[in-house]
Amino acid sequence: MASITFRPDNLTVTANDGELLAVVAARAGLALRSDCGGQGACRKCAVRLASGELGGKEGGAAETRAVEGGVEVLACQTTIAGDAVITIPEANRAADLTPLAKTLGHVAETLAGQGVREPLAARRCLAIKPPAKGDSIADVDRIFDALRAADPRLRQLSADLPTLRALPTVLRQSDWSICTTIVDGLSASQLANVASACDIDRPVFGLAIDVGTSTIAASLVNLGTGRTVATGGKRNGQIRYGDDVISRIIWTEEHENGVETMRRTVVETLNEVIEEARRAVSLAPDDIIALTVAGNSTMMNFLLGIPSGPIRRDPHTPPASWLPLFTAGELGLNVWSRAPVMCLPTVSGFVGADITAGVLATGLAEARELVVLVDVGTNGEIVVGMDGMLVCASCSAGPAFEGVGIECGMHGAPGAIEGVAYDPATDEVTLEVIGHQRPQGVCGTGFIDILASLFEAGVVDRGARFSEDFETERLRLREHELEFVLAFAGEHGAARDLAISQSDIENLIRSKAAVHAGISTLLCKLHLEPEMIRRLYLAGAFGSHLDVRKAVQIGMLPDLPVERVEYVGNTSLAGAQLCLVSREAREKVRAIAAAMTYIELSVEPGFMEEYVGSMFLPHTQTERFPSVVRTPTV
Amino acid sequence: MAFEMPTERWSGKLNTVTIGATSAQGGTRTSTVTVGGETTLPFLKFEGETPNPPVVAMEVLDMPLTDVPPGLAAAYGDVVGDPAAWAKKCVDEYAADMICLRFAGANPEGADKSPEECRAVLQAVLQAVGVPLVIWGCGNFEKDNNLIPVLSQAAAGERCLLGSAVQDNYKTIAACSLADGHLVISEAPLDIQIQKQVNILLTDMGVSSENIIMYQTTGGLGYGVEYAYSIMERTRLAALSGDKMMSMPMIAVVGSECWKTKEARLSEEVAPEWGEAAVRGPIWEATTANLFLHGGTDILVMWHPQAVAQVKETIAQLTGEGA
Repeated sequence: MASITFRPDNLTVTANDGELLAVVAARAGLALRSDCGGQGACRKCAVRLASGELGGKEGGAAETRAVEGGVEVLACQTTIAGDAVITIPEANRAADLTPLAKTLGHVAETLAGQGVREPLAARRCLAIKPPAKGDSIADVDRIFDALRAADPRLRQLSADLPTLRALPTVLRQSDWSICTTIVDGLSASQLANVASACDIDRPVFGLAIDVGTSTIAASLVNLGTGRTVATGGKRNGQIRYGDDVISRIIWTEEHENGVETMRRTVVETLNEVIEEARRAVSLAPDDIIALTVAGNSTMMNFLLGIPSGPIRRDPHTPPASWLPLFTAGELGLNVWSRAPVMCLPTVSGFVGADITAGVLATGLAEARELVVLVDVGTNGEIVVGMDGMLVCASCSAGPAFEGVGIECGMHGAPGAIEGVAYDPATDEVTLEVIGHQRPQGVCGTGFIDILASLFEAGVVDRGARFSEDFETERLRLREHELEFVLAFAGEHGAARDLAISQSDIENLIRSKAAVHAGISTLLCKLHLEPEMIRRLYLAGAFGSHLDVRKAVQIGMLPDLPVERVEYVGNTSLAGAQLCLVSREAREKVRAIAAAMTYIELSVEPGFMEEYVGSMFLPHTQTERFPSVVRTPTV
Repeated sequence: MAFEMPTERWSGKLNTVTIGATSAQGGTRTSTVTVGGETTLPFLKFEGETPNPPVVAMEVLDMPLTDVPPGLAAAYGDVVGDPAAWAKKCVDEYAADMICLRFAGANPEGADKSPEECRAVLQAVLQAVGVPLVIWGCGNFEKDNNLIPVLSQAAAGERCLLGSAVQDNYKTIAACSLADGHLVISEAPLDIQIQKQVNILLTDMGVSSENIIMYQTTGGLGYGVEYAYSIMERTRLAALSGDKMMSMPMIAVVGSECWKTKEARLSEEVAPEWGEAAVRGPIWEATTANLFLHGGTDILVMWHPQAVAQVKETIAQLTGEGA
């Protein structure tokens, strides 16, 4: 067992001698670039050996190359051979592979508590009793008997046609020692593959995917241990057809083969994510044998190639609330072609599988007191749970907090500014950057900090307009618009000026107002008061950590004691991940979808007024935010 | 058993605001106007106090009245080219409680008068009448931000009502009111939330909430006044329920809005079935004003002398001893 430290992150992980360095780095959440797929050709995974020993891939010493100030090795060709300290150059990090794992703390606990129980697909190696004279029991029944003997929790079993076709030959060629793949279906189990045991007796993986309107995120999970081995995210390629679901639906309606184009685009992005995740831990496509997918109703439709017109027209009907298992091959995903794909169930046209997944991951259905889940994506969704009651609503928050539509915006990847503090006395801006790199843009948590900080300092007024008489060089006029410079080129290592403009701020204010108005209107409709909330889970891809106090300060969330609010990260992905490894979760999520009541906020007369009232810092009804105190500008 | 009128007990009360300053108060006005202080919905004498009856401010422009029906033009005769004489006529002949002096001629898209020209007009009007003044800019942000400081300074100490502060442009006017001792009109586009937001922005700048009058951009009868009425009523209810940021008295612009409507303007030759134009126009204006009175408006900005007379009569009846 060796101890490997990665710089500049200063992360230390343990590794076995002989393990590939690239795999160890990925496990630490520091995936490296791998343009050649681990062939040792592209040199994109080159790292510096600061101290210690490393070995070569085929044994012997590691191949090193002298570079200025040290030696360089290729992580894909180098193995662990004792303790070592490795420096990863910024340029060689897999840029789009987001360290989302940190945000899944809450769910990781849930997962750890549950462990792996009946994953969506499993492999089991068996020795089958060969037929003796006079024993004419069918081949497939021999396998079923052996499977049942090994696992009493298996339900009714059947075999699919491709398996039956392969069965007689494989059984006899492998001398009755086989490896089976069993899919844990929604009501029965299915034998989905048999192969000779020696071929595939190694760990298998599943991929949980969250298809977001702006960002697609995925977690690669070892189905044997339940451990996440890689997690990543990518911008949804469909963004070029519109920032939000409505404009994308319109696009599909106005273009020939629009639905098919949209489907192909998301499948392309998904395959890129799959490939990156796969390469990060050097897996073959066939090693991924199960997929679960969560996402809003429209994204799910696009993935499946179903027209979504009815979702945007009153009464906003989705095509199906729950879907059967598909195979990866049918959907065009580059993993084992017969891997089952479970799409999590949907509630309504605007409350999709991302939310049923979120309810599952946060345990909202079991809440005894008033618990609220707020998922801020391009669409904001709110679920109120108490004593088995589950009521949900949706509001159009826009993609601002995901960094879309904001000039300096980006998603929570390395290089994203996730924390900002401005001190008007010294005119200094303090930045926290994911991965401690030079700042490249700002992600959701950073935007929340910016709004809170500028408001507190009096750089913006309560209407979120810049005070043009505020004296600082950071506030300047560019293209007839005021902007505030977070980092001048060179400052904090920024390559260019990073600034937030008045229209960026208005965008963010509209987003935060929609979220707050959604929460207030839904609670009001249920005759509940915000103070009654015992726990509020804030989900979304804001970044790795979120200062709850600041989310309250800008009036995005109701003024609750900080300890009642928890930022839980991407719960859509977390719920999908639970479904990947647990039959109980798969059953529960269907019950959740069936139990949820949807309320259409757009027809609530109070919504629009609440929205306008929320477009203020923190809110027009300042008395609803007693904890937010600010000295007036004059 | 005697009948007892059921009444509502409100916790809140409207701010009491005095416009205009006499020489004893540092100004040159011969009279002042006090509005607000109500503790009930409009005119419910059995339930609460209406210590200060609503008032009428007659509007005077810094330019001649153009494009108005002959009946309205005739009511003012030849004074309309002379703001001071026009204001004096409104006060002396039509008993206006206040004069609302609007600098429409300063608009860069119109006559684009300079701040200095406007200042001369203001000074002449201040000389000509002793009632308190509303000073309203031209509505162009950039121009008003140059104009209002000049006017404000010229009328320093007079406790005029400066119009108007909006969400996107409130700082100059707030600073003027603080520097020269004036009051501020806080304007919103028929939106109760934005109204409160402007009020908060003004108080954040240091303007006392006691020095603010609220204004929602209402139209004339037939053009969405029911919505305006409900906004006014809800504003009053908010004040009575104790919302300090909504407890300011309200002003409504009736005259210029009503005289834009075809119902007030069309001659009887064009619309004989609508009756005599000379009667119809003033009725249109008076009816709109009456509606806003019932909504809770404290200051009505009006044009036609007949409508003014009718509305003043209504106010007297609703608030007088016999009411």
